[in-house]
Amino acid sequence: MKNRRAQIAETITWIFATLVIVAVLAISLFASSLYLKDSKDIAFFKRIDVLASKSLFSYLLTKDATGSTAYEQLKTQENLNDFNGNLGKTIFLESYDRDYEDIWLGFPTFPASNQFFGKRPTGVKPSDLNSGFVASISEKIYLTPDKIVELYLAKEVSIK
Amino acid sequence: MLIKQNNKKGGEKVISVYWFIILFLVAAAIVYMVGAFYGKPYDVRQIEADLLASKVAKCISYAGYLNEEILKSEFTENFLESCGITFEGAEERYSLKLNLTNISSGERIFETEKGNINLKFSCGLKGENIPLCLERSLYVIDKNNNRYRADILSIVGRA
Repeated sequence: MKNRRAQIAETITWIFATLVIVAVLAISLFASSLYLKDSKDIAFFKRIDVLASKSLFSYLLTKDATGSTAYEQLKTQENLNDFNGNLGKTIFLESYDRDYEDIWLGFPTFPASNQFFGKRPTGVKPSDLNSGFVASISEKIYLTPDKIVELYLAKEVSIK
Repeated sequence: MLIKQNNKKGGEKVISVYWFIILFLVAAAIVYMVGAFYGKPYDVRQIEADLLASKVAKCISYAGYLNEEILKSEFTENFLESCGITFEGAEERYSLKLNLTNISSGERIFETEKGNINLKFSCGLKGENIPLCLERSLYVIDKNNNRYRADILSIVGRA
């Protein structure tokens, strides 16, 4: 009698153990099939934008009516003027607004602000962005050893 | 005593059947999960489309100035070859469109389109098998300070 009881107890243990194992496997398979769709997406954001970089070079080489390039003007002036400010707005705000949420051009040193692009964005992740990050591209060109002009582009990237 | 021994052997046999069932279950689940993970392709169409646009940008602008070769008719005819791009073997998956517009006059200098031109009709539609369309713009000037805007549309379809 003792032997039989032991066998029954062992069998019941195994039946429950099998059910638990099958349940764990089923949950794992269901979870993995939910996660894996037709293809795997990649959270992709580049650190260099070739097109924006080339546009910035062309912007700096553009001459105004007097023959002075935007580069020469920015090198000598305190901030953006009507010519290079409006030109920057036309090029960058109109051409890149579908690619980036924040577009800023100017001198990144204090006060890092101008009348055409406003204050330089900070690149801080907004609180309502739960699963993602703010990815930014910063194209800097040294006008003098102490003076930089910066094109800042940023957008929110969500991680799937 | 003999009965006791037989009972023990029977119990072990039953348990070993369970062991085999569980072993096969675990093995099948591992095979399925590995297959599911590595069997699905990575979607790199966004990267491909971006690389194509960058390649065209490098072709039409050099050191801030327009590559004047692109204004010749041979460039339009051999647009892909001139920019070092080839769709050989996968023509139906790719499409590239380039428009060059003079910003000051509004005149369209040229428009060229290569690859599978039917892909563009899927742009704007939604769905898993819809080709990925990437529209980018580039500002460029020539040596005479003429301003141009190059609009690049690169489309990559599913493999």
